[in-house]
Amino acid sequence: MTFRVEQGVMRGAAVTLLVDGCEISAYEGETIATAMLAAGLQGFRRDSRGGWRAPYCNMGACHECLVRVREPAEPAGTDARWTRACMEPVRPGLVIETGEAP
Amino acid sequence: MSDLDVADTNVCDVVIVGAGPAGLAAATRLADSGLRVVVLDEQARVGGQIMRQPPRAFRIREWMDEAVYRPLKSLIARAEAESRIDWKLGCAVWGVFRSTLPQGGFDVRYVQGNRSETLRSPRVLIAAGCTEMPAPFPGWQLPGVMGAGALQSFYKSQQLVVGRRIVLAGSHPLLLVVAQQLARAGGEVAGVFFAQPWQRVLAGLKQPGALLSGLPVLLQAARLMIDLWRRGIPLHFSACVTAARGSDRLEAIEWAPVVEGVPQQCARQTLACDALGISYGFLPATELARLAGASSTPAEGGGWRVLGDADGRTDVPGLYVAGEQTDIKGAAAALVEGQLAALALLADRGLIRPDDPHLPRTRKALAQQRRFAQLLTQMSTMPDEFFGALLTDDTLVCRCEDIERRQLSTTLTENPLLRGASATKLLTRAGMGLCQGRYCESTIRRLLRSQGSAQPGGFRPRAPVRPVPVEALCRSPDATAIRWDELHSCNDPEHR
Repeated sequence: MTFRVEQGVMRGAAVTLLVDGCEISAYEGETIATAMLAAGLQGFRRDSRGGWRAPYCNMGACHECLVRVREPAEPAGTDARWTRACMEPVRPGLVIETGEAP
Repeated sequence: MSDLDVADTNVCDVVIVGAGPAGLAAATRLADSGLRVVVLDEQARVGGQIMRQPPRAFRIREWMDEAVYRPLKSLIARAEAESRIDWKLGCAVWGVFRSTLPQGGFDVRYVQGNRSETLRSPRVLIAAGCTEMPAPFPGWQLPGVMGAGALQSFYKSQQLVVGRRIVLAGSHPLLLVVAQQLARAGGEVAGVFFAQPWQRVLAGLKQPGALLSGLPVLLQAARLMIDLWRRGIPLHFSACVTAARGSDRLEAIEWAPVVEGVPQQCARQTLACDALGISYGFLPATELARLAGASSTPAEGGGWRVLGDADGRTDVPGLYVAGEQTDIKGAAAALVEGQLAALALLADRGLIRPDDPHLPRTRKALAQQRRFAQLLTQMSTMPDEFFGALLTDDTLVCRCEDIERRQLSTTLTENPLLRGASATKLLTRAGMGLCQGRYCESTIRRLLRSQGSAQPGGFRPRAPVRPVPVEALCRSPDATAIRWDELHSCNDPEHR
């Protein structure tokens, strides 16, 4: 299981975000990719055959970790925006949708 | 004291793209001489990939406390304390263009948030680093398979150990470093696979002068191997991962012995794991320099290296490069190259004399680092045949567009006159996806070589070099000034 190193590490404030309707907890300073992997979620985008993809480069180049995000303040129904999960920090209440093919 | 006498806040003396060791070393040196320096980097903090810093919200005791990182840590500390540098972090540069203004210079276009902005500068230094060399094999698109550098940056900057049972495979010594870091952090490393025989390491040392420059790295590698052995981590040489298996995520790998550079069909074994880090080397990330018109040539391990002079000048006046742009050589060399490019730029501006004693001294330091880098490349470069054997018919070559090798081979057979990756892209869509060919170009060029094309061309570098939302371009304060034809501009005659 993927785990956060605890010894000698102090993280930011606890943050809750929604991934496909389920709450996961994370810490300020983490990226969406970290929060998802730490929660055991390994499906980010899907490919054209329906297969799951997940971070490959973790530096913004490969685009395998694309997910859709909506700001917490935005009303439901607002168009979600594509983002690279490895490049975007978590924020409280962020709404994330996985499983789409870009 | 500006080259461009324009009252414009977006004008500066030098724009540096990349805040890794090369970019930081150059930026601090140029700021010391009083130049107005802007540094752009896509990451939120400086340091580059080698020193991917944790977010400011984290407090970490003994972050990267290994001795090798000390010079880079002090460089970061110096740079971050430097108030004369204008840092633009979280900014993705999507194009560097030669200006059409009579006084010359460059337009550097970048995206911050959902807005595109432009900086104008008489001189630009590109220190954009490198990406991991793709080495496609069956199942490499499964969640859980990633670059060894990705596993490492999750640990370095996020303090996250990805996977319960981790396997590392490839041919680059980075694997040893990552294995040790993850094991120390409490991860279970189930095996480290080096495709080359261990004797390759010693063969490199027979080169004249190599012993002196290679000894420190050899000693470090030996220390790492002893540490892994003590931890009971199996270390294999002449063995490689031939497939990743699992239904919707990595569940196991297959591995096989490598004989004379080719993975064997027989004697394949299975090893259960849920994370796999791959590292066969790195490719220079030179699309911005090439887009701006700098000449380039194929790099040994794949990708394109910029043809700079000894001090980092490209053949485009005012455009400089440092670090992995001119070839893969590691962080220590990149730091020295950054200093050297800064000195060259100062000499060109007339701020130091061309015979300034720092120039030969820095060149000498760089020559030493370069020998060491060549040794590393010699030890870790695998032949075309090796990668060709990993690439089965149903292996994905282009991960973005889901193009298998079978489809590419058919296209190449049907079109024997295909000579470059760009033409192959038009026929197959391979390279048209969001990674913009970074993860398939070297494989396509390898396939072209195996079909008899001696020096196949690559993808033409195109702006935007990162996907940019059209909305961001339209919101740009100078949207009307973006010449849409420049998005296709390229000065590389090979690609015209």
